[in-house]
Amino acid sequence: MTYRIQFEPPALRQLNGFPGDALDALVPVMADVSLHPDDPLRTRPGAKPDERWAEFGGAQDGHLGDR
Amino acid sequence: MLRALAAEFGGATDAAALQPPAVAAWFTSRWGARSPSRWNVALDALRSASRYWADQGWITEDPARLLRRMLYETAARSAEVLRLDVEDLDLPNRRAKVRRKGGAIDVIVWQTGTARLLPRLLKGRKSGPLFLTGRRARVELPPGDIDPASGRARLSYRQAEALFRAASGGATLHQLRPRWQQEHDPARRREGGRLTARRVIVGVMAAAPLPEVPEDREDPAVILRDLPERERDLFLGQYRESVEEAQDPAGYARLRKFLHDWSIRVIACNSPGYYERTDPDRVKEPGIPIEEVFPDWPERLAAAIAARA
Repeated sequence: MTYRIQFEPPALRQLNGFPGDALDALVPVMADVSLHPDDPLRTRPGAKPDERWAEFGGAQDGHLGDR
Repeated sequence: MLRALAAEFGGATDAAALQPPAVAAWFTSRWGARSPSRWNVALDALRSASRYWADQGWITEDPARLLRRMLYETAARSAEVLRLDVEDLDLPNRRAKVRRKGGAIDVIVWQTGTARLLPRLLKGRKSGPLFLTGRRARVELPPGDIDPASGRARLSYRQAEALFRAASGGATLHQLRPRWQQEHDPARRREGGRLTARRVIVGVMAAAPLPEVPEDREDPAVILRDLPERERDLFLGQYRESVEEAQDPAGYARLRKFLHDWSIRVIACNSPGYYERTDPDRVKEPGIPIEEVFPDWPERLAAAIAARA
């Protein structure tokens, strides 16, 4: 199963005006999620089995869906 | 605050005539229902005023307060401190000579708290017993136990105990006694009854109530207790996996991070609207692939992987 990352609207809204440094810090976190989607320490299961999602600084930042 | 105080108790009233319980009851009834900031401002004003009155000698320092502070800071026996005369005090050097149980002369040393309270209690007295009763002695006492100026008597252990009980909500002077004073203490026997102040202070502190230890928010039991019901199975499942992994020493750091993350999640999950904000099923608008947000995502991903490696 391969995953791709997509930002859900709440995360997109929060990304608006996100400082550049914070965006840079977000990248390795998202990389971690995409590389280890089954790691319960890095991601949480979504409402559907093929979804994983993660938090960054308390905000929902990305969403992995089975495509 | 002072205008209100004067209106309540009379502008011409002597500060010394104010009864602490009456002032406390008036203060609570007047400011108890106000905002915390108003309460604190009024309390500060009252404290400043009482400090000023004490410095002017208009009101007397509560002897129980000084006694308690002095016993704590010097680690002396209460009987030794109650036997002190004003002439025994070396105020500039914060020390005094006391006669120990058994007759030996020793020096006790105090800290800032006692140094601040002492002049308020003394109010310029140069001689006589340090701790005095509130009124003149009614029975015949040795001259050394009477303040020649006021005729008030030296505070006895029993009277000090009563004052102390009233001021501390029932605690006894005995409870302040260091544990090493107990006759069976081997350390006491070993050192022939002479112990350093440091040892004594440790003993006194052991008699005081222990401070409350703040709850560990990363304790799994605390996390489980505070998590919303719907999250608990997920937490428990992941927790057991993490504990299993932590059998390998390398997994310990991950277990700690796991608990840290969940302790934050507890706060998040309990915040209003959390599930509305995060439940993907409730999101009607479509998501946007990360490649559209970060056009250089493949390069960034590769760099992140390289940095981890």
